[in-house]
Amino acid sequence: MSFMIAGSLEEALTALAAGARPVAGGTDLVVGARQGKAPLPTSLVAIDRLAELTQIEPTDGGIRIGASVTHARLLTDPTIVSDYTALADAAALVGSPSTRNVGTLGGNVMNASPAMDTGAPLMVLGAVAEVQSERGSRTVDLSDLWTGPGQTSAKVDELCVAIDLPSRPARSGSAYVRLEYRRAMEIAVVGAAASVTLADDGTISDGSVALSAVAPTIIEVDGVAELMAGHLPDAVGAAIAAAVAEAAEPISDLRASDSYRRHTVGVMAARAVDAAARRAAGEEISVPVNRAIGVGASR
Amino acid sequence: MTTRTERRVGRTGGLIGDSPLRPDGIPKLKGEFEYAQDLTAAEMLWGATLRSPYAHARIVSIDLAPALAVGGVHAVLTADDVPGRGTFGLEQPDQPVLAGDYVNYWGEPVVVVAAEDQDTARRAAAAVVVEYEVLEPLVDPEEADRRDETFRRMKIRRGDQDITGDVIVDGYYEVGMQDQAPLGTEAGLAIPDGHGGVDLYATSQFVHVDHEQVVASLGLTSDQVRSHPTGIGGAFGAREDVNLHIHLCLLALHTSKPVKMVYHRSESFTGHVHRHPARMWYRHHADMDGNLLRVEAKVLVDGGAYASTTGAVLANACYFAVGPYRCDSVTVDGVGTRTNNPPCGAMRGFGAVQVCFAHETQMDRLAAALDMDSLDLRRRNALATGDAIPTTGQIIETPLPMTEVIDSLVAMPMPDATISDSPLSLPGGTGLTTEPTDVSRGVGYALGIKNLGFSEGFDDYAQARVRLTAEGATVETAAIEVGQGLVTVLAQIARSALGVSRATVRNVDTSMIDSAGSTSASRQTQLSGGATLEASTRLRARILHAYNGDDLDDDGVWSEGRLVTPMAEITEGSWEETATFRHPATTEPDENGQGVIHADFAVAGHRAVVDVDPELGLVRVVRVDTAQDVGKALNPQSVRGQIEGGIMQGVGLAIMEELIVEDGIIRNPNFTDYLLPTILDAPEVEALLIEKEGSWGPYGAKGVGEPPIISSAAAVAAAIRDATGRPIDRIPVRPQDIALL
Ligand SMILES: Cc1cc2nc3c(=O)[nH]c(=O)nc-3n(C[C@H](O)[C@H](O)[C@H](O)COP(=O)(O)OP(=O)(O)OC[C@H]3O[C@@H](n4cnc5c(N)ncnc54)[C@H](O)[C@@H]3O)c2cc1C
Repeated sequence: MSFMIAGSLEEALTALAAGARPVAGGTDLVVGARQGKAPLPTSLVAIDRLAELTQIEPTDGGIRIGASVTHARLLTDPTIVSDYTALADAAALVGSPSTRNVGTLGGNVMNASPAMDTGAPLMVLGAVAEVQSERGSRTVDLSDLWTGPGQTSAKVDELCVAIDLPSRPARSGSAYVRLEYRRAMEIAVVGAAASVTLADDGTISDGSVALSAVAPTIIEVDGVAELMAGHLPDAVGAAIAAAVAEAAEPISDLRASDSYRRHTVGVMAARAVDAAARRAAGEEISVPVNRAIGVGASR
Repeated sequence: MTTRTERRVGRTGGLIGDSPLRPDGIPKLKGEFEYAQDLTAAEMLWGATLRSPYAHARIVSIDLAPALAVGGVHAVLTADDVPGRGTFGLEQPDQPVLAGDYVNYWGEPVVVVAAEDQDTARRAAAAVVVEYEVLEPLVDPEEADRRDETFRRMKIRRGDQDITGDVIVDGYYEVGMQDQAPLGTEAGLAIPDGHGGVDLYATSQFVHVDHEQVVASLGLTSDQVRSHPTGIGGAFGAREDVNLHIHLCLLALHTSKPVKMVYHRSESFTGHVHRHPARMWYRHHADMDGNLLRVEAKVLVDGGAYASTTGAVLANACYFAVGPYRCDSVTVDGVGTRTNNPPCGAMRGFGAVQVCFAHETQMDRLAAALDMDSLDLRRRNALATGDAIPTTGQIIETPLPMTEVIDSLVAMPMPDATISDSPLSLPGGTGLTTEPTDVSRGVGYALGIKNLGFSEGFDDYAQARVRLTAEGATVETAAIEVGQGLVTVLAQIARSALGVSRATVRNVDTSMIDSAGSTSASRQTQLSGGATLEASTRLRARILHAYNGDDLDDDGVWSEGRLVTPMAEITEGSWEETATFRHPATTEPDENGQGVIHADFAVAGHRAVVDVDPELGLVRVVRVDTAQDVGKALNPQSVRGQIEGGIMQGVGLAIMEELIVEDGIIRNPNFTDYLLPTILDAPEVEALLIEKEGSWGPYGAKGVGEPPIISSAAAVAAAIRDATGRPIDRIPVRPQDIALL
């Protein structure tokens, strides 16, 4: 087995072209190998410290988050917390402090678990993935990136280098909520992210909802914007819950039955919309970890 | 000259009633404590186990050649290589050391391997080719009952069998399979002694009973095998049965090299016994005033593939089926079934936990049917000293402060009724899942009773030896410290009884001392503590007699306030006493389950406060208050440790801890899917220790390890019922049981 720490993005791409697999925090890759899910790849290239992949920087139309940015950074970054709050909510829920200190956004996205926490927030925030190989660079819509549990449409020599998020309209808020049985170190039983934009009269002008752990990939619920438009946030809960329960295709497994997932994902989506709308209206609802430790309260 | 007021014992503490630092505490915190996992020896090999992938199959053939071909492999052994008795077992030797013709549960050991490192051993074990003829597993315990596939049946008949009550309440209850989930997995090291014998260091709760079984299967004489106590990272019942012990010795004797094994996590989940899942059918009869007239119950516990302690667990479940209440007319039928499910055995609470959930739910329902306060109903029927145990008719002779427990519990302050908006106190993790407006609060009470020590005529004893040397007192024992604080309390007893300030506990192997019995049944402080007290008391008397004194302390022997012989002179001689302590004898049950079955009893009560999000079915256990009958708290901090830990395990059983078994296969043998409560799930705990001396334990102490779990799970379930109005007739309560009804 060979292990190489890439000194530059170029080196990493060369290694991938030669058949190496990327490893960032290793919290999926190494832990999965230990649990016997899949053997460790015979050739690994570490990308967690590449300067090119660890920046959070403003762009013309929004913000660009390097693939190797950790969850710990996401949940404290002022711009993410204030403008892309659902992503901070999700990052704050990942594992334990040690998982968040090494686990990365790129690893979470490229691991493509249907229960991943950052996926639904990224979708409602309109993110696209930037992937690069020696052959060139392209952007991929998330709905095209995730093709099944643990599967992406990226080629083996392609590295996810960044996630691009468009800037947020005024009076917008977002939130991610996760259903879990235990209060730490949990996997989403179901999860829901919502983005809401309010008109001046307090009604909803635009919005979206995406779900985790109720389909083979993260899914965005169709028709949510139309459903909510023109209504006050208080009035849309039941309709959202019904549309979401309709869109979900949950399975029964160790954690929950399909009917429990279908029921709860509706409730969760309605609660996500509620929190997103309150944030859009300017209410301070800080992200989970920050709430728990009582610091960094923000929209 | 030293004066009596300066006696060092008084200054340094560490006596009965104190809570001195645990000698193993700081080493454990610093990672310096040697657990069985850390054992090592020169030229040591590693062992690994090949286990059955089927719940039931016939072994057609085993091809060892591919394993033997792996470089670095020293031995690959099957059932044919067991020189002595091919089976082992605590109650009956029915479990094969290695499977012969059949495998009877998923994960049953078939082949063991020794190789130069752990990876090689595991790879070689995986390379063995076993051809199985897969058979239909018997996994439904009610079907096993009908087919009379049983380890034991119990019949209890007491009093009028025809009486009926003015009010009758029926119920059916289930308890899922909990695992002890000790953080330290099974581990051990066997070292051949070069003369055909072997020294075994392995995780255990009872080295002498391991020793008997190891000797029988190795076909050796008792003195050829020495079983040594070693560092244990948790037990809770999982270490009473043999698992890797005989395998290690076989491999070590076969290869003439030390062999070590450490189970990985999922192997630990299959490699030890679990708490019996139970199904219970109940009927309670009462008069209009709420006097219990009759209790009828059928109790089924599934023992899985092999006997382990199923007979005793079933018996306990039946003996405590009514709970801590007076009732003169009792009918209990019990069955411990044999199936192809994973074997079940001892776990903290040992049968009393399962029935407590049922009898306490029945008491709440009876109170509702009578339109009576449920605590008034309990108080009215509460057992007390002098009463008969409702099932066995045994008269309770030691203090049994059930009424005091109820009164204390009620008097404890309730938490603030406003639901906090701190995410740390809301159901649903630390996220935004639940807001205070989504939550309803519930309060539930439960009472429990259990025996202390072994029962049904078992000759239950513990031996301890106390020496006095220039280093102070040493207590020698084979009793196992599993993390509960035994080594601390035995030293406290030796200090107090002997009168010296320095005392340490030294664990010795089976060749050096007689049995201390099991570290289970809440018994070790009472039994090994009793032996330590007796040995210390006798040693002190002998020393005082030898030097004509009336007192002994660190300075030496005193007479009428004057030091007559200094310690240095005394310890030139050799001073030791060995004592064997037995609790009051018990009897086997007669054909109606009657008799003096138990040595002593302890009671406790719990009040749980929960916040529930009914729409999602999520529960946050906010607080659990408890009052517990402890006799005398020899080490109050250790008692509280047992109480807090037991309550956590009860909370786990109530809302999340369950091994999910489908067609005989454990689906969640890992800590991702077997959910243990984390520290963020821990409720606030307030504990009141009720000290009523009069038990036969040292200084009147009672065992305290099990009562904290017995009624805590039932109290949490009752609180969820109160918050939601749902029936909650099964634990663990699954969120879907709340949200989907
Ligand atoms: C204890 C624990 C708790 C966890 N809890 C959660 C949780 O609550 N929520 C959650 O969503 N996840 C959770 N996880 C999973 C994991 O931590 C996250 O998915 C994390 O974000 C993965 O990032 P990583 O950098 O560690 O990925 P790695 O393990 O390094 O990589 C994961 C996969 O992605 C590939 N990869 C990594 N980076 C790139 C890239 N830039 N381009 C292309 N491919 C790439 C790797 O080759 C590998 O296949 C948990 C894991 C553990 C161990």
